[in-house]
Amino acid sequence: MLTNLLDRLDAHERARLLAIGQPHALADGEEIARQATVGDCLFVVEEGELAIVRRVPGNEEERLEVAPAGTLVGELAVLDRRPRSASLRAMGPARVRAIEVRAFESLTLDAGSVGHRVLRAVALSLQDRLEVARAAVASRFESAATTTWPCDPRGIAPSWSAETPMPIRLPHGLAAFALLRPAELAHVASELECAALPAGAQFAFPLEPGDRCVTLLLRGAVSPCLVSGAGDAVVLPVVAPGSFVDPTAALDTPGAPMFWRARSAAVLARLPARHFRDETPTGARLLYALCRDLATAVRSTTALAMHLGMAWDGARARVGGTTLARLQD
Amino acid sequence: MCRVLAYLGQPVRLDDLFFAPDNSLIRQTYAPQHLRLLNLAGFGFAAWDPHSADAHTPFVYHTAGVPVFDANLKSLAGKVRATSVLAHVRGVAYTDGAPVGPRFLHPFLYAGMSVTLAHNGELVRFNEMRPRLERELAPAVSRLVTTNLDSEWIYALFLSQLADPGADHSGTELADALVATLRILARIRQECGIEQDSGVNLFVANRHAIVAARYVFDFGCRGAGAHEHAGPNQLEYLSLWYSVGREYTCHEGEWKMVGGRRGASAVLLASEPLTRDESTWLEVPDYSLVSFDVGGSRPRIESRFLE
Repeated sequence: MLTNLLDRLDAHERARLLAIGQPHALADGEEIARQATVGDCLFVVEEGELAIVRRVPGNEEERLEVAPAGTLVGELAVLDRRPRSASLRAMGPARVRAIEVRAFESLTLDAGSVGHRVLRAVALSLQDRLEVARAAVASRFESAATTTWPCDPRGIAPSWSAETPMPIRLPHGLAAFALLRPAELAHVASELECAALPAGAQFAFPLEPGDRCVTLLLRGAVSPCLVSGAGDAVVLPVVAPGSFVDPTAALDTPGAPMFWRARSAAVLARLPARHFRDETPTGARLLYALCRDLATAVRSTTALAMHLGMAWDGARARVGGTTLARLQD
Repeated sequence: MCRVLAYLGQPVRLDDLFFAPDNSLIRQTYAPQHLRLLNLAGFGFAAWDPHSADAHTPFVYHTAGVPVFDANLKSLAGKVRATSVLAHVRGVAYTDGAPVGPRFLHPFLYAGMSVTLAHNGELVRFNEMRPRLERELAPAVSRLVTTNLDSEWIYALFLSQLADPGADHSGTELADALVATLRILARIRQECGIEQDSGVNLFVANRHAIVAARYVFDFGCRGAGAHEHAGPNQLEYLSLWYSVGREYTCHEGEWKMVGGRRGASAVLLASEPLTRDESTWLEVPDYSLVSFDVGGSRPRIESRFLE
C-alpha cells in the first residue's frame, strides 16, 4: 500500500509543493499517464483514487496498487528518466496536482529547508515502496525459486580506511555525486572511507541508529539479499557502481534486516550521513541522487516480483544444488 | 555489442519477427534502442519449420553483409514459418583488427549437432583462456572448432557438456549444460587471474526448446590500470528481455505476444524488446537463466538463479 506523502509534510510544506503543480480534474477511467511513455511530471492525488495498472506479457493488464488521496505517483519516471513503468487511471472522479519535473527540481534542490523536507518525504515514500516490492519478491520466492548459496546473514564486516584500495578517481559523472558542484565533490571525496571485499563476500550494516554512514559502491557489484522463511537467501536486483548500497542512514530510519553479497570483487565507500542533511551544502543534491537510486530500485524490484509471479509456480526441485520452479505438468 | 532474438511457439513467419516490428532485429543493426553501438558485422539465424523437408534440421542462413540491404534474406523471411528461431546481429569494435566474416557469424551449428548457440557479450582476455578451455572440450567437438572467436569456443564448450550433442535434448538438459559451461568459464577466468567484466548472455535453441542466460562475469569491474575511473555514471547490466503468451501477432498495430500468460505456449526472448513500447516485456533477472520447452504434453517454463 502506498504511503501518504502529504501526511509527512506540515501545512506550509504541503502548500509549497502543491503550489508548483497544475490541478487536473479526472473523470472515472480517465488516464493521466501511460505506461512506456516519457514521464515529464509527477502527481499528487488530492481527491479520489488512482489505479496504478501495468500491461504484462501476454498483453494482459494487472492492477498493481491503488493510490488514495495524499499519495505521490508517477515519480519513478521523473527521477530515473526512464519510461513510465505503469499507467495511472482514475477510479471514479478524482483530482490530482501535476508537478512538472523542472518545478520539482527547483523546489527540492534550490528552495532551502522546505524543499529539503519535501525531498526527504519523497525519499521516505520511495523507501516504503521499495520495502513493499521486496516483500512481494520474498513471498513469491517462496513459491518459485531460491538461490544456490547457503545463507549466512552474519557475513563479514567491511574494514574501512581513508586509503582507497586502488587509485580511483571520482569524476563528476559518478551517478551518486552527479549533482554536486566541483568544490562539493572535492569535499565529499576527502571524507570518504573505502573498503575492499572479495567476490562472494557477504556483509551487513548496523541496524541501530547512531552515527551511521551512507554506503555506495565504487567498483564491482553487490546484490541485496533478504532471508526467506525457509532460511534461504532471496536475491534482489544487483547494485551497480555509482549507486548507493544502503540508503537508510541518510533517511534516519532503522536499517533493514538484510545483507549483501559481493557478486564481483567490490570496493565500497561510505560517507557520514550528515552530508545528506539540510544544514550541509550537499544535502539536497545527495538526497536527490539517493531518490534516483531508490526509484531505480523500486522499478527493478517490482519487475523482479512480476517475473516471479509469471507462470513459474509449481513444484520445487533441486538439480545440482540449484532450485528451479516448474509449471505443473 | 550484438543483438539476439529467440522465439519458440506456434509457427511464425520470419519476416514478422525480423522485419515487421518497429524495433525489429534488423532495425537494431543500425538503430538499436538500448545500445549506442551499431551492429554491422553480419547476421545469421537458425529456424526450425516442422513442415519442411527433414524437419529436425533447421534452416540456417548467414550473411557478413548488413541485413537490411539483403534482398535474399527478405525474400526467404517472407516464406519460412518457423516454430523455433534463434537469430543474431553481430556487433564488433570499430577497428581493423576486429574478426569479421562468414566464419564468425552466430548462431553456431556444427554438422550433426541438434542445438545452436548465439552469444551477446565478450570474454575479455580470451586468448589467455583458450589453452585451458581446449582441455575442457570433448575430442569430437574440438575437431570442429574453426576460429579463435570466444563465442564459437563457448559453443564448443557447451556441446562438450552434453552426453550426446547430436541427440534431442530437453530444456532442462540444455539449461544444465549451460550452467556447467558458465561454471567452467568462471573457473578458468579465476585460474588466469581475469577480473575484468565480461558479458555472457547466451542463447541456445533446438527444435522444441530455448534457454537463455543473462550473466556478466565480474560485473562492475572495469579494466585495471594505474587510474581506474569509477564512472561514468551507472553501469548497466547486459540486457535480456522476454515476453510470453499464446500467440505472436500484430495486435492494434503492434507486434506482440497476446493471449495471456497463464497457459502460455509461446515465448520471445531478445536483447531488447522488438517494439518501442516495452509494456508487454519483462527483463530476465540479472544472474539468472530461463528455459522454455514445448516438447512435452504441455509447455514447461523454468527460471533459475545462478551464483
